Amino acid sequence: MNKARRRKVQYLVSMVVLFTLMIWVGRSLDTMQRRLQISQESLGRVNPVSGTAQLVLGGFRGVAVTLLWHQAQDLQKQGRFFEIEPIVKSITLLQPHFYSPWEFQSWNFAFNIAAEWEGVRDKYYWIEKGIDFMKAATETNRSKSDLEWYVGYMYFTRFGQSDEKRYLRELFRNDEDLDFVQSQSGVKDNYLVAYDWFTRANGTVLSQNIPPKRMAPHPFLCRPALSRSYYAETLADEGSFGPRIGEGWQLAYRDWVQFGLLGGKDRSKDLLFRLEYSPSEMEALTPEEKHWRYHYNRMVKYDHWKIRCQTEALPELQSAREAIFQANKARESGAYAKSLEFFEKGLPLWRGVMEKTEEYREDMLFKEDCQLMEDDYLRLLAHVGRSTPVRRPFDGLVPPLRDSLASQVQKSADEIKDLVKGQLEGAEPPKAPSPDTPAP
Amino acid sequence: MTIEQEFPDLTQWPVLQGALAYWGQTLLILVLLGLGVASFRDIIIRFQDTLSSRGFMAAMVGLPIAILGGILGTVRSLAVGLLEIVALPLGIRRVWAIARLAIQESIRRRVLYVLLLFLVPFLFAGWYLPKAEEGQLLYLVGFTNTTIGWLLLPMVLFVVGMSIPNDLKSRTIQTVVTKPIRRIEFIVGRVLGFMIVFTIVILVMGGVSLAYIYYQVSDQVLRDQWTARVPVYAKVEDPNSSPFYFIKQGVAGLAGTNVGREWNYRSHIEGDTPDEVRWFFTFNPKQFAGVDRTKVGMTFDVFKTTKGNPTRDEDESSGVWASLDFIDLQNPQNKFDRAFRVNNNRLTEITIPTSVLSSGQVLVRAQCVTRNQYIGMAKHDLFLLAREQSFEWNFIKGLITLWLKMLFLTSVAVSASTVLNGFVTVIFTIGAYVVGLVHNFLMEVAGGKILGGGPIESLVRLVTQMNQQADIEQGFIRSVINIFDPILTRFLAAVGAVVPDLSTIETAEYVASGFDIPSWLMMRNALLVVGYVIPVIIVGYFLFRGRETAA
Repeated sequence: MNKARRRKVQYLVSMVVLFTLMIWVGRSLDTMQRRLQISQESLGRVNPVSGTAQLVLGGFRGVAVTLLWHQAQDLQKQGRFFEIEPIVKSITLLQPHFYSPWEFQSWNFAFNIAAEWEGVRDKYYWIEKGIDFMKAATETNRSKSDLEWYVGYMYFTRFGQSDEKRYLRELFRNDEDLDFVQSQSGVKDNYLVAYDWFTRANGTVLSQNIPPKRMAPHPFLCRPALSRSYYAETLADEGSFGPRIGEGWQLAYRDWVQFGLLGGKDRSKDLLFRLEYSPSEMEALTPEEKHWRYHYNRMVKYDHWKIRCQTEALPELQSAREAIFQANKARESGAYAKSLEFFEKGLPLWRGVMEKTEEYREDMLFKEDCQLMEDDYLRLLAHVGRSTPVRRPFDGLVPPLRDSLASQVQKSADEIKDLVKGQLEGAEPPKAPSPDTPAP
Repeated sequence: MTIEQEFPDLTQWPVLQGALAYWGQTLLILVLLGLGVASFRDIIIRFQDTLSSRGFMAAMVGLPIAILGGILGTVRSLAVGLLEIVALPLGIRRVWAIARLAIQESIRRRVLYVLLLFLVPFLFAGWYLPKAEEGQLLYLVGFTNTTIGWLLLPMVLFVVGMSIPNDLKSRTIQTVVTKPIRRIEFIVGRVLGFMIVFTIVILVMGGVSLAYIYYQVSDQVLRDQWTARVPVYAKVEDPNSSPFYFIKQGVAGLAGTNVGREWNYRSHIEGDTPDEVRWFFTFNPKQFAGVDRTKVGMTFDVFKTTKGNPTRDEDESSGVWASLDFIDLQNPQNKFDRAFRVNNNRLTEITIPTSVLSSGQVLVRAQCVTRNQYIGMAKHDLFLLAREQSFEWNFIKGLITLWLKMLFLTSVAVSASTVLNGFVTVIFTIGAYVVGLVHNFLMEVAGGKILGGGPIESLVRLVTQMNQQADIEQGFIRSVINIFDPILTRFLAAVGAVVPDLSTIETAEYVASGFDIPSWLMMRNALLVVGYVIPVIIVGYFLFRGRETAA
């Protein structure tokens, strides 16, 4: 065999050997990926463009992402918000399973960029962008409960808690993009869509039995119940009275109890510490278990929400709330006589509920609501020149608002006085320089 | 549409004259420098020849003759070269023959296949580009321009960069250089031939892109944004005074209140105060003749210090308001005022009676009306709309910019390939292109304006994961930085001075925002590129002349 032919044969043999090795290595890598659940399809949706982009850029992927990230930041500084979106999409195509960019940029859209706009419609547009972006992240990164939770959280906060919530919720109700606004129950409401996403996130956490990364399990898992509660509360605040509110509170109660039954008593093994116990079970808890029950209950205000849901579901409280809502509306429009009529209808109903539910009566927020309501009523009476009743509407149940405020002021003043006094007493008197002290 | 950098208007003859004179001077310096280097090389060669044949003493004695001979030889060579350059138009047929060869070579090397490759991104782009009407043109124009640019770049690099080195390697070049053909004709012919091919490719790609954009955009975008506005911006005759300024607390200045925005393109004025912004317009009133009303466009930034009470209808609908006064400077009685709600960062158009523009000298005053809120403005944020031109023509003007970039790259690649081998030419041309694109950053690094220091210091920070502000302690590393960074930054400054800033010739944003690419910008871009291409080709020609091509 001449030299050239021998070389060719050597090349051929090496190629065959290397390719055979490649097949073997590839297969074992594939099995390993599947076992560790880090293969493309077990991480999330497989995107052909993303795969091609990653392959083409090879080792320069990180460099490209860094450059794109800088570009997106610069554009944001210049207020060129519409140009950011395709860049951010490119980043996520290059690094689809690195979920920090997804998380950061969807927050950036829904919070930072939305805040840059002046009109509420513009804000709505960017909140929607942010949420859609986070939803895309949940598809590309399956089994990431945090991302699902954040989708729910953005629906919850951005539409329900911001200063412009009234307008945003109105736009939400009138939005025709059903994929975005319709909840599984068929109602267009941000809290109910949030409920669906929180429930999905809970499902992921519970099925994997792995605690969420960014948050303690209790505040994470209580969100579906919290969303239902806020839904019912907001309907009442907006004046949409009717059977929906009562049903909403009942469903919220069911969700809270379901949440309370999750987990167990062993903190080292169970995903979360159980909060719901029958009276006999409660009696049987050890002091340590009682301590943890108290701790986690305070963390999510479990008992408070349960009592609140039960009480708010009462038809007489709903009637009372409706009457007070109408009274406030009439008062703001200057129809004082009508307002007083509604107050006089609503306040006794309210008192009836308070007398019935001793536990809720002691709730601080509820108490404050009562005091404010009573104060509005009494001031309106004085304003129209009518004499105040001999007995206050909530006499014997809650102290008048002014007394509470006065006692709070007094308490704060005492605290400050104690603090100042303590500091004066505790401080050492300035030392006179000793004759031995060397000159500086 | 924001314009951050203004260039002198080269469509005006006196400005152009000044620019050409400056360019001529630079070229002359370059020629003299080349002459010096070539003479020195010649002298050394002559000296070495004598040294090796007749010994040191003879070489020393003969040095003056060597110097004289070297200088005369180089001058003669330069004169012949310059004569060849001047006589280039006479050899136009030969240039065309070489160009045809280059075209044939490009086609033989399947350059036109890139057109098929070009269609691939279009098949999938629709899936990934945002669909919202706002910004739709921006995405589409950006996408098509990027696609054309990125497909042409490797084509230029490999087809042009490899061409002459391959000819030299396979010795096919001898079939050309042995013909009665001058080397300058060879180089110019090559550039011409390749550019004809690239022009065809750009035209086809541009046509497909335009059709794609047209069928992708919504009807509303076609109605409102499918245009090329020709704006008249604030301008005064006196070059020493500004046509745009702020009056803050009674004092005139170039900036108003700083509200803390990171990007300081705009400056702000406070609402419900006497603070105001003034634009002075000097223009030819004939361009507005024949119509009763003229459009005025503006894009202002709103900075709110209070949200108001967004739960109350009247507050939400009230927004932030501004007032505009248009005053005819020749006849101050002739004026017009208008208040309107500012649409934050969006182009708003209002109409004003054309009569107020009749004298060609107009003052526009703007104030923010809403208390506690601020409005941000810049010189180019307000314009008078002279006329509107077709979007298609503007798109073609955008393609011309792309063509100019390709011309620059082709000339660099052809000239470099006369002395470097193929792969090195590709790397060299990529280097020139990248430096052109990041020119601004490079000059900032060279000028010490970037946090984190020069190249070595940055490398140290990168490797040791140190932030940009922290001091690097005195010691060995600090000494290395102190020695090498100044050398490297000077080198960067020198590279930056040689390569043009390609980022400033971008025009895609004009097309995408619906603004006509101004003639002064087209002129400036064309002169910038041609002003580089001529010396690059001349340098390439002299290098090629000095190269032995015969076996």
